Amino acid sequence: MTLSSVSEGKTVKILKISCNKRIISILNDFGIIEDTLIKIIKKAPFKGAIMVYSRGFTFAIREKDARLIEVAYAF
Amino acid sequence: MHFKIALLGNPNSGKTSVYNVLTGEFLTVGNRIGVTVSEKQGDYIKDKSVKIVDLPGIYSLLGKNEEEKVVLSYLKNNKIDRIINVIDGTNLERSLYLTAELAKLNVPIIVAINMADVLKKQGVRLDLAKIESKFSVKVVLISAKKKTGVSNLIGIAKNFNTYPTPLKINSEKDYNAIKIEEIQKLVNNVIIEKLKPASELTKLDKILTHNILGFIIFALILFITYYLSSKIGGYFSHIISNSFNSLSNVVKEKMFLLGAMPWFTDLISMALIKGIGSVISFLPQVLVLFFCLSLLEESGYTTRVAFLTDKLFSFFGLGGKSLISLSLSMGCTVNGITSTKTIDGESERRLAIILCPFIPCGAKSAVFGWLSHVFFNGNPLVSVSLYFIGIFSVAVFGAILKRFKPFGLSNDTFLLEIPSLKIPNIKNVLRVLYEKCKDFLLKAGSVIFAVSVIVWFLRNFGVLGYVGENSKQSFLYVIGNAIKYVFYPLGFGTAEASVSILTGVLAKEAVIETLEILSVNHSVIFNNQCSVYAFMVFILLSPPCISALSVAKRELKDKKWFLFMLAFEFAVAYIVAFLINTIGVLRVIAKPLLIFIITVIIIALGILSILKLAKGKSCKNCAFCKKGIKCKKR
Repeated sequence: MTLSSVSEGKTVKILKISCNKRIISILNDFGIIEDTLIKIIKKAPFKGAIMVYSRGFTFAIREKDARLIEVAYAF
Repeated sequence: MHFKIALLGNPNSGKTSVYNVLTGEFLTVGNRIGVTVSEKQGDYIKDKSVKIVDLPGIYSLLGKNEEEKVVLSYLKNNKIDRIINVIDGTNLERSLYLTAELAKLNVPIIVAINMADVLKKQGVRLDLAKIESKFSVKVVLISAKKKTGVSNLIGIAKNFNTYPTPLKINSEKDYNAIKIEEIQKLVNNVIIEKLKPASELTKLDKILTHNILGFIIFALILFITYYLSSKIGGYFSHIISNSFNSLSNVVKEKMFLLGAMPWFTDLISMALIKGIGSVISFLPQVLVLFFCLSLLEESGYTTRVAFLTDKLFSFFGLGGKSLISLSLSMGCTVNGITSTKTIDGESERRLAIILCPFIPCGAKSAVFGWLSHVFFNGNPLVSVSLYFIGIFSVAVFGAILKRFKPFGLSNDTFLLEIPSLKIPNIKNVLRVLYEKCKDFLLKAGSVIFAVSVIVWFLRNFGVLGYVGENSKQSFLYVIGNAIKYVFYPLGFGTAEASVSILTGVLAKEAVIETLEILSVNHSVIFNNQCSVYAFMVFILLSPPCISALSVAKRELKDKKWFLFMLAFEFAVAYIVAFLINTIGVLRVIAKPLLIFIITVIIIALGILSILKLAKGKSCKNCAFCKKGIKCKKR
């Protein structure tokens, strides 16, 4: 399952990030790597940006990048 | 020898606030990332031999975006004695990743944990000694907002000279993963008591980012901002311009009685008092605009809109971050273009720079205010309609340019940090207004003053010397008559209007005072209301003033693109103004608002056909087409 398909309010664990190098590097700076828990807060309409919460802060990512992040439900 | 201290830290951690306290200067701050985009050096307020350097906010030292490049090249070319690492105390974990990177630099580090007041309120307690021993740094709790702890920073920095110890990680491959794990462990030890951080949107935030309401609120806020600035601003402008006019008359009478030379009387009463007065009278309007803008910036609202509209803007080849630049352009195009540095993608940044001038800045709105006051009985809808033409042009021409290769790349990254909403700090807002006021008056006293005198001279002197009332022989009319044919198709092919467009290149406010000095009877300049409206649209869309142009040239980095921008904006202004005037000449409808709607329809039809031509074919087979991304095969 990809991050873009997770519905609002759910928390998931990142399995694999296959975005371009720049995004991976920025996510790294944020401390977001494999195994990190991430919560979907809000999705902008029409497949717009996705607001997520992880490691104590909130940020937005584009839908096309979220499609390249493989996640699984964390129990 | 100077003692140099660099302020480093994550974006929006409060470096600039600390800088302002330490140096007593005032640099703009805001509740979003990327307010500071270049380095700034100042003197410590208590000791001039200590230099403080404010640097853009960064997450690491890899040099992957403009801000990091600025920091890297600064660190490379300058010797720094101490680093003050400003940390957002409410976001300790992420901030310490950067601290781990800074520890590699071999410069003593003082870690200033900001927002101590917020931490205290939340009941969070930190074990600072754990951080100190981990990296061999000095840790201080401060609050830049409440100004506590900041003044001690320099004294502590001077006395602390231990070199930091970086994390000991041997394997290069898993460096990041280990670093993140190490710091997580550290943070778990450091935070003694903590509250669970809010991972839900607040009620207000839910409304502001609501799928439908969010857009409606944004449109309303835009409308209110524009309306207030032309309504309230217009009210005060009227009072100020009236008092300048009566002052001008009084001076004229007194000088006549004193027997002054007529040309000298004219210089003082017309060029100086009336000309500059007409510009100063728009100060209230500009201030209202900046007041609204800085409220939006300070509260963090702009990032919500950036989040919400990112997808919408992708149709115009722009992104959510361009919206921040565009809204700053409402105040001043220079601010807007400078802020495009935070936009990640090359093509998006280029497009944003080219489109920013379409959003009317404070000076342009002053021009519109004056023209609508003189020719449309001060109807505020005239100015508001121009704002919407500006916004509409950004959308339309963005969508067109996006179709062409240099602008059409959609590989750009978009990672936008969303800070929590906060109540705007009224002190900062007032400070912004004060600085703006100062700028405006300085400009009126320098550039506008010079333009006034020059225009007055050109208007009153000709090859025969002083021509006075016989203005048809003046230099100005010679110049104006030579270029007026260019504007003939647009309906304002008069010497006065043509010359004011030339002086407007220096500063847009100069348009007002050029027209004010040039004509006693304004109605001779324009044929009818329609040509006035065409003139306004031309001013709106044509290339910005010289200071914005120089910033654009710097940010575009390539002369080729700068020339393209000039040609493109001139062409757009010319064509749209031509359309409006033509419709007016046809006398379909005389009301400017309806003219606007008809123009919109015509432009939209034109664009549809252009888009159809430019769209090309899709192969429907390759991976790109299936994903809905532009086909790469053709």
